[in-house]
Amino acid sequence: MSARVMPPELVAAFDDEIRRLHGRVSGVIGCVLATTDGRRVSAVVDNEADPQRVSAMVGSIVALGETIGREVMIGRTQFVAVSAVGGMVLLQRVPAKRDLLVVGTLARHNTNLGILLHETGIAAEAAGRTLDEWLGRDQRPA
Amino acid sequence: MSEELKILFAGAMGAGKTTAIRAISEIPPISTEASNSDRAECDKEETTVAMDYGEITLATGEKLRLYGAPGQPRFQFMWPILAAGALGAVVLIDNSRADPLGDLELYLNAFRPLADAGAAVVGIGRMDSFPRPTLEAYMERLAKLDVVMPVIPADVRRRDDVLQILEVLLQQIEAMWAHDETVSGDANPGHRSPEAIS
Amino acid sequence: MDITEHALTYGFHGVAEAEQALLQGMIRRISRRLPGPVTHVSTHHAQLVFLDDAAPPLIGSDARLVRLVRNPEGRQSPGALRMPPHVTELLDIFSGSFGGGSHERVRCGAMQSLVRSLHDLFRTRDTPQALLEGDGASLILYPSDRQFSWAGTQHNKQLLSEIFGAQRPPRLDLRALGAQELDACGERHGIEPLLWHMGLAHAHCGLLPWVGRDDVLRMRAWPYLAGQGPAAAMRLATTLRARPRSVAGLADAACVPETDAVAFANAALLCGFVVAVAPTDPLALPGGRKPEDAPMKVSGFARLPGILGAIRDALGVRS
Repeated sequence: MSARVMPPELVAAFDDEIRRLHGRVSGVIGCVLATTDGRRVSAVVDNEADPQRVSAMVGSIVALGETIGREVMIGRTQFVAVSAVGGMVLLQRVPAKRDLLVVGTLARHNTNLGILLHETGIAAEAAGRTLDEWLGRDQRPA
Repeated sequence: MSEELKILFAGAMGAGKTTAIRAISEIPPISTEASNSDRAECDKEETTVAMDYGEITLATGEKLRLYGAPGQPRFQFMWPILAAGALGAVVLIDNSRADPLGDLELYLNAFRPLADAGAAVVGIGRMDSFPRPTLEAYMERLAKLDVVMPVIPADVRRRDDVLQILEVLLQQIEAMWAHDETVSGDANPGHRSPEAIS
Repeated sequence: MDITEHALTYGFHGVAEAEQALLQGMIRRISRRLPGPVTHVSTHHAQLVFLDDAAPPLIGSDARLVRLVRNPEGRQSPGALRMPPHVTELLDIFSGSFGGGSHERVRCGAMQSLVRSLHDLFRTRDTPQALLEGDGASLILYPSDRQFSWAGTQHNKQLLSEIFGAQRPPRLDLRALGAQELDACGERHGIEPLLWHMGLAHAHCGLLPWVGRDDVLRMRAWPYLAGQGPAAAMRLATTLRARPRSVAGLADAACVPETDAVAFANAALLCGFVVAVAPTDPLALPGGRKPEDAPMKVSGFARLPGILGAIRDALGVRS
């Protein structure tokens, strides 16, 4: 798959999902959907963060998190969390037939981590279903 | 506690950073690879998205750590993180790419402090099948950038080629050390103590 | 005059014409027993100068001097020169010249003349094509493009390759190229490898003639041909990159024989990778650009050589 050849309707479906995630959790100030190799697919960011750069970082950090998980033999990494004074970031892979996408959610520091994790997971699963559907339709997905 | 000894491999996607580390690392390299979503840029299945890591144990018991930086410019945020405290850098250029001289300029600018300090070497791959730009062209571009640094044709699939690049890098670092010692007249000046460096 | 056509040249300084005639007669006789032509040239170009003891000082000549001493009893008589040079001693002088350094000096003279011409040709870049030929080999030079091409047969190419590969001083000459000769040109190549080997070949004649021993060598581009020799070229290159040095200082700092440093310097100078500046020139000073985060600080300054040695040992590379 290449983000450059991703059909507009697929990108539109991802956009909808990212907007929904952004809207349904109070405290969320940014959502990014990126390819695992760090290219932006869809993003809503309220602050000055550059979605292109954030997309690249999401790809890197998910990969690093999974690498650390393997290294210390704790099994498959489910998500990576960054907690900072001014907020938090949750990063996780989009569960699909192919590992092609990652999602990142940026939230204010007073956001409930459990809710954020749950809602990010729901958005990731929805994006995964959309991706699987498209992969199933496309005869030459890669 | 022993200090970190690190050599960084940088360069464009597909230039051979992971391969070079694999050629000399004594452990199977740790990679952070993801599906490559841009086959037009480079036709390979996977690409490094955070870093590669290999290591070599020295007789002193210390580890020489080999880091590979992700090549795409969007991963530029990783470059200074990985370059911090590096003994030196190897910049690998793939001569079959669309604009190898542009690649050289990109990575040179990113690792300019190391290049200026005589701690960087450029390895050019695939010169046999893609002879242009020539080595002269690389020299001209470096001259325009006011940099003098080694440019060595290399096939990083061959361990000997990787070792040759590293030997030149080590020689350069050694020569700069000797020069510095001559200038300072002090083998261990206080302002260069490891504690002062992060 | 092309001195490469002459095995030995001689001249006179302050020697009366009658005495010159006498000497030349002797030289004609003995030169038949010598391995090459011996030619009378002006004092300035001569390798041997016959000098009348009473003559004024000879300025600007680096020729070997053969001092003629007058017989005190015959001071007023032009025929009263004491021999040497009588025939036997004259023969010794010439034979010694051929057997010893002078013959080499002739060859070095030719080499110096050639590299100077090449250097000027490629520095000014304003001369059109020229042909470099000798021993049946030839190649075409394109100074404005810093290129050359092989001319003639494959045999020629091999011959020239052998000449440069063996680092022998080639007996070559430059001449202007006719327009129709250009038709025979083959594929063009960068001139640097040719100049590099010329520089190496020049090493046994010393530094390039326009470079002084005290001149400071400064690297302006990495000598990417260093892999073609001399053996220590890479070490010399990294050492010189660190700071400008004289050739002797370079050899010393790189811990290599000075002949290697001379060969490297010649080759790098001819190619333009290195420039020579007077020791008093500000360019002779070390560059000194050393960022605060210079990498050698990382591991502790004093420990660095030990660390580099340990890395080399671990990698199995030579020091």
